[in-house]
Amino acid sequence: QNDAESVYFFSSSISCPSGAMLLHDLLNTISDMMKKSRGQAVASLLKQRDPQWLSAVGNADVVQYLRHLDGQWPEALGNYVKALYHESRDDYEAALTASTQAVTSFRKQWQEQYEKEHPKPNWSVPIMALLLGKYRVLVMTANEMREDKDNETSTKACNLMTQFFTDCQGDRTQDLDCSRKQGTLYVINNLFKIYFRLNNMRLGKALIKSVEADGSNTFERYKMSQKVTYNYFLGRMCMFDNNYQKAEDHLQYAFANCHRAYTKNKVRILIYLITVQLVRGQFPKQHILQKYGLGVFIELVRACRTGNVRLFDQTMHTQQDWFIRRGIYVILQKAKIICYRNLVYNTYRFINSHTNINFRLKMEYIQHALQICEVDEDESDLEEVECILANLIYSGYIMGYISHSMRMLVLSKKDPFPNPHAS
Amino acid sequence: FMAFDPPSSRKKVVRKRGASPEAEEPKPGKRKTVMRRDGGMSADFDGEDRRRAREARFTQYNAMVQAREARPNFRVTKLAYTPASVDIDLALIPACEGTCQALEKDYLRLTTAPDPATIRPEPVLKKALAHVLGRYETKDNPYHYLCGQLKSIRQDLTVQRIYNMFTVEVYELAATMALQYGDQAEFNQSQSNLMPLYSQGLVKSQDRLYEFKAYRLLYTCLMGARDELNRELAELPLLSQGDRDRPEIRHAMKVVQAWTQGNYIRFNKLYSQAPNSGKQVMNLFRRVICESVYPKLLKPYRPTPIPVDYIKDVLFPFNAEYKQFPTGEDMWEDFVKTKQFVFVPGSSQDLDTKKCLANFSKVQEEQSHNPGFS
Repeated sequence: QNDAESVYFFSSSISCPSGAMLLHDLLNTISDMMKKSRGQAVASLLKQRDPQWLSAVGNADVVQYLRHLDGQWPEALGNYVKALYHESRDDYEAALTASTQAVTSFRKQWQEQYEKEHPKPNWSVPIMALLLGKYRVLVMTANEMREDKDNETSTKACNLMTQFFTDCQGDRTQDLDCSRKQGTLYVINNLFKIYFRLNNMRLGKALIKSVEADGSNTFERYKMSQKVTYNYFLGRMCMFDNNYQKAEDHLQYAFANCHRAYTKNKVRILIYLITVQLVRGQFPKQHILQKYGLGVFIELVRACRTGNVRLFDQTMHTQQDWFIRRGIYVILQKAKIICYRNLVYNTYRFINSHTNINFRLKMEYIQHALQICEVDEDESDLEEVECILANLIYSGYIMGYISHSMRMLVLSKKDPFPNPHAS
Repeated sequence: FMAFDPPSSRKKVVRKRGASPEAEEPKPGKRKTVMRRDGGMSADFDGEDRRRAREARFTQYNAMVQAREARPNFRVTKLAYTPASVDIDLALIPACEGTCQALEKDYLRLTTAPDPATIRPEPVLKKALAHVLGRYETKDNPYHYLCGQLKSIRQDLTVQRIYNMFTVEVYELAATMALQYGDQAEFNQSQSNLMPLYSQGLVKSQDRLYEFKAYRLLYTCLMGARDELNRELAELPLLSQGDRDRPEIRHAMKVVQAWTQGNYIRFNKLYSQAPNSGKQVMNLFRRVICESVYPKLLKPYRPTPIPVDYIKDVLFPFNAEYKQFPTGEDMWEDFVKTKQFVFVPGSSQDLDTKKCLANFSKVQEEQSHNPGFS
């Protein structure tokens, strides 16, 4: 039905190029769809970016035009259209007001009894997704423009959205296909986007708990695009909590299921996936980094792979802003231990390039290796070497022990350098 | 101090046999004379044990109520920097203009809207601050007194909604003093209150601003507050290169790196080089550092012994001249007491790493939310 309606709209645009006529037709189509409760069709019709169409909105009182729709629908849809118009004019304040009005009216509509008793209560969920999405975008823009100290706008937005969340969760329809619970992930993803932008992860945890409480049955029924977004945010949250195994699983799921066409999303997922794998000792292939435009990581990966400590520090310093903006600076510091592990391993291989392997490695050799990397004098004294080795052994990257008095690392005879990714 | 009304007004929820001494008239019958803890005699109703048990139940009840309220019902109230909360919701009481003229005022947590006669106006507060400064410099007053005075000044300022350079001055002094005396909670409150003031542009000098920014970086990093650390770091790209190269900021960033890499030796070196009061900030977390570094000084060395002096140097790298509160020697003694060192037979210096590690695992407390060194 979706295509039929869009075709109808396009055909009408070909025949009547004037903006006002377009608007007229569009609103009529929307009203028709509303009467038939076709939420998805209405949502796709409302996704308008055509400038000709948008400029026609300016003078029209859209709310009044839709007055024949019952309940709060005129306000909800009309204000949404107004918000689009204001946004195209770069009038973000007005757009935000209109959008807030749309969202609140929509919510009021949802509270109506006849809506709740509709045979398919989640028919309007696509519209909700659209309204909330636009609302969130406008809130984020307003946040940056207003330089809100207390983040008042985002607080209000979050409050509003969590009300939607409770609405969705509170729906008691038996049939899961018709239940408003289908809308939960839309709301959650929008909330996540706000929280992550504001670097406030704590609040996201509560949301995750409630989704997990629902069980996998409900989860399977959500749309894949929403599941991908959800897993992306979940992965980032786990990464934030130093739970790298789980983070990798979620991000792998998101990456694998993200549609081929959405390259930007794939790149976003990949950034965090690479970080998590790097910290656990798995290096991405160079052609993948180049394919997705993540050349930033190339030097870093090379430094870790070869054990070049100086290069690692340098890269972290030059790319500091890029990493900080994506929130991975602190986590990437932990990849340094992989770097050190490879440095010690290479030293060990070099010293033992003859046939008879000596399982005792003097710390001086590692100190020399550090100096070859051109690490500063005060950062490569024996105490630091000892500390580095202690960390490596403690975390399990090296099997062996340190003799403090003899300044020596004694390696175990069996597999002294286990593969870091396997651990 | 009860966080809710006494039981007489909640008859449905809490059924009590016998009276709570504060709420109801003393009933005849259960009155008996009991020995108080300090040796005196008192006419105690229902016995002190029962009263204590009742109070304990109320604390549990309070804790339950608080837990229920703290549980997320998706009421998002504050997302980013916010002034630290006082006990009453400031939004509920109107700003009032004070009339009190007292120079010294004890600190009392507010439970109701304050009487303007007890609030001091700004000129008086300025004199009060000077008074406190004088007392602080003569160094003959205990910390509680100074802290209490400052807190009451801050309370008066907040109640009257005075947010200006003077407020900044008060909070800066409070933070510095809290650092001197190792008061983590006070320091946290002061510095988290300072940040919104700075962001409103109330900056006396750029040096102080960056000094406190560096403290905040250090504090959030060592605290394990990843949220806030990320927020602090996110501000760095917005600073000019000159500001980013300031010694305090560079030092703080190096500490962040050393901390996340688990490099305790580098951490100690940075500790000795800390500018301004950075040392005191880092010392607030001495205990966390010890708990996380101590096993790293044992496990990798097993089975060879390790000298006690090495452990002392790594965990408590204080110089003799550096006076702080509490002192390094006190901390070391506390540490030794809890850790149950086992020495290698025949030596008073070398620790038996295996046995010490076994002891450590036995007494290891439950992990706090702060994982310490990674």
